[in-house]
Amino acid sequence: MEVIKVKSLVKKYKELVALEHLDLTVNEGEIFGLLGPNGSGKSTAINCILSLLSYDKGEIEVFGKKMTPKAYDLKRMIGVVPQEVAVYEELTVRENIDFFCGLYIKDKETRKKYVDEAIDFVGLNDFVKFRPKKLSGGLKRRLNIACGIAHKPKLIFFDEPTVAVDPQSRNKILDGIEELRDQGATIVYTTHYIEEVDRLATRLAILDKGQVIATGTPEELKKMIKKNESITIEVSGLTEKNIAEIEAMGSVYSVSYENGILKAESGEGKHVVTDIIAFLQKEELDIGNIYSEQPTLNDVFLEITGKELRDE
Amino acid sequence: MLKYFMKMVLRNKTNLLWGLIFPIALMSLFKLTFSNISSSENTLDTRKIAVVLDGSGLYQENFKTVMDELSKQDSEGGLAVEVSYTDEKEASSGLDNGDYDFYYVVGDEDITVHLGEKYGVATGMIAREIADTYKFNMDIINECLKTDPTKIGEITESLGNRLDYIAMEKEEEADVYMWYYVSTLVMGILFDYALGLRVLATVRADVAGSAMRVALSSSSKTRMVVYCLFAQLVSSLAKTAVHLLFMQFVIGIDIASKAGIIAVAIVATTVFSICLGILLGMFFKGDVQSRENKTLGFVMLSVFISGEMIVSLPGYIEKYAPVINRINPATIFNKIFYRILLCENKGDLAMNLLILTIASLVMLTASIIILRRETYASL
Repeated sequence: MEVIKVKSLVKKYKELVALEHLDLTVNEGEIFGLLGPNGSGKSTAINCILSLLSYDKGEIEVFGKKMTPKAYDLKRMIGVVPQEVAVYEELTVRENIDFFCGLYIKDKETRKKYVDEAIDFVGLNDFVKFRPKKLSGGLKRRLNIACGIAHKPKLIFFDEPTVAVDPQSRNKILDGIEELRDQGATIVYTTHYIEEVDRLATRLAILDKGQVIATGTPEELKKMIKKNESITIEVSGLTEKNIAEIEAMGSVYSVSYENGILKAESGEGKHVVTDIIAFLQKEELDIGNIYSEQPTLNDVFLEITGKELRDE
Repeated sequence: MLKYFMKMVLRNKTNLLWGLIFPIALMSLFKLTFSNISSSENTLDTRKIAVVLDGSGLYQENFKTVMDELSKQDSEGGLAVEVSYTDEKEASSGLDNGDYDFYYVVGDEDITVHLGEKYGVATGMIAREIADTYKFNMDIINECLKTDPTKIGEITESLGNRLDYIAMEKEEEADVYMWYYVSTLVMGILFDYALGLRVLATVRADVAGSAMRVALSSSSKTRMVVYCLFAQLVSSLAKTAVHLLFMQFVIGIDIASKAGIIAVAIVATTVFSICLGILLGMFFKGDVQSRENKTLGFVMLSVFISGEMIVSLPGYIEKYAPVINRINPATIFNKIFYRILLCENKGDLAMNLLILTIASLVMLTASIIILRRETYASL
């Protein structure tokens, strides 16, 4: 089932086109990653889907119905974890979660149960009476998440939830998102951290300049590009003749040698790392560390746009 | 939900400090200061003025004409002025003996004001107002005296009206220090702009992230706006009630006998202030803190030009740019409360209150329309 369907969405800020005929489909039960550099239109797309931002053209459907600002029945099924920590400094952790849960759940008993579960879920049991300013950055982020998911939404938007978070808290947040998916929620996750999307996303769309430039599963996207393997070998005494011979091997399409480091990239076909090592041994050259890397989503972005994802 | 809005207001230390504690501290300071100043002065007592004409030029001659005109004016219900012409020695000793309230030494191009050691605030203001009016209007006075001497009466009449304004027209028990307490009360009410900004930051998604959550929720936006406004209003009224109790029981100003009309004025001015915060908050751009700073600047300016620090400032503004006094919220509030506490002219008071109530309702309507918005062009 399609949970979100966006068709030809256009959003302009005066002369600036923020979204240019954006098409998206998010299916039930998946973690859908929206990957793109800062300013690529990720947050704008989410805010348009949520009817928070007006848009110039296009159609947006959520759970099969047209999304409007007054579609309260749809809003009841949606949870949002915004990019910035959006809580009230005057309320305690528990009060904040209860306040935001209370925007959806009116029954006190049900709400109490949901709030307790949300506190358990993000691991803030020891901090329920703390005001946000007393919490560390990571704990604040967890509170931010609890406020967005306490009412048990079926569709949850996470807008860069791990910005400025320590690795431990980041892992906890990512684990939590996977758990929410396992509990049946559909997740839309925006980030410019490739490794997070690589780990979490069932499917993703790469955005650049307000357009979806590629969409599919991470594996499908990686297969789209020329690069199949990136090999780095520490080796001394390599001659130009040796380099030319490596370049001539099967699917190798790029070789460089600098300061005793050989870098080779191969395209589709069989892995060539064993062939290169055999060649270097035959030439009786001293071999140090050897690394072989599979293509990343950054390689996908680089190949499609000609720039690094984090250059922006 | 209302419970949480109330908690947010009550736990906001900035609001408590500036809205509740600061006005009480300021009133206490005034009380301490004024208790050392002679309180025997009644602002409507006839002012006895000595004039020393140091020379016989046009400057002195015209001043004498103005003073004569002023002393001739019908002072019924207003301030009476009694002028004597003498030399400086006698003027000085008369001032020491209490025969004169103050005296002027009029030179060829300037006027020096001499006040007694224990002059009251109103007397000081009256003395300066007469001298300043003469100095600032010298060219007009000269022209009048040359072309149509009868017109000098219009100038002195206008001056007389301003003196009445200073001395509180038709007041039987005027307290010259009341102005300071009223201004401080008004300042406390105007500081409720911060509560308006709080409402804005609670429900406008383009102002604060927490408001974005509210906007995206399945709760009715109107209900949230009403709850939030109500919480701010209740807390503000409670805070002002504390100020009024302080004025009644500590300062000694009679609030209780006019409680009904004061309550009406308090509600109207408080609604106005909260809505002012909402509208200014929307007008200024930036994050919540930046909007708060800019709005605070506006409110401080409004309070300053209403005479909180310099009591004679509204008089000067009345003279040179009266429109400012008509539109400055702090001046309007001051006049309303001053009239309630001091004056008998119920007609003016009712008109002022009516205008304020209409303005508050208009601002409240505009605020609710602004706050109910759910979709934005940009965030």
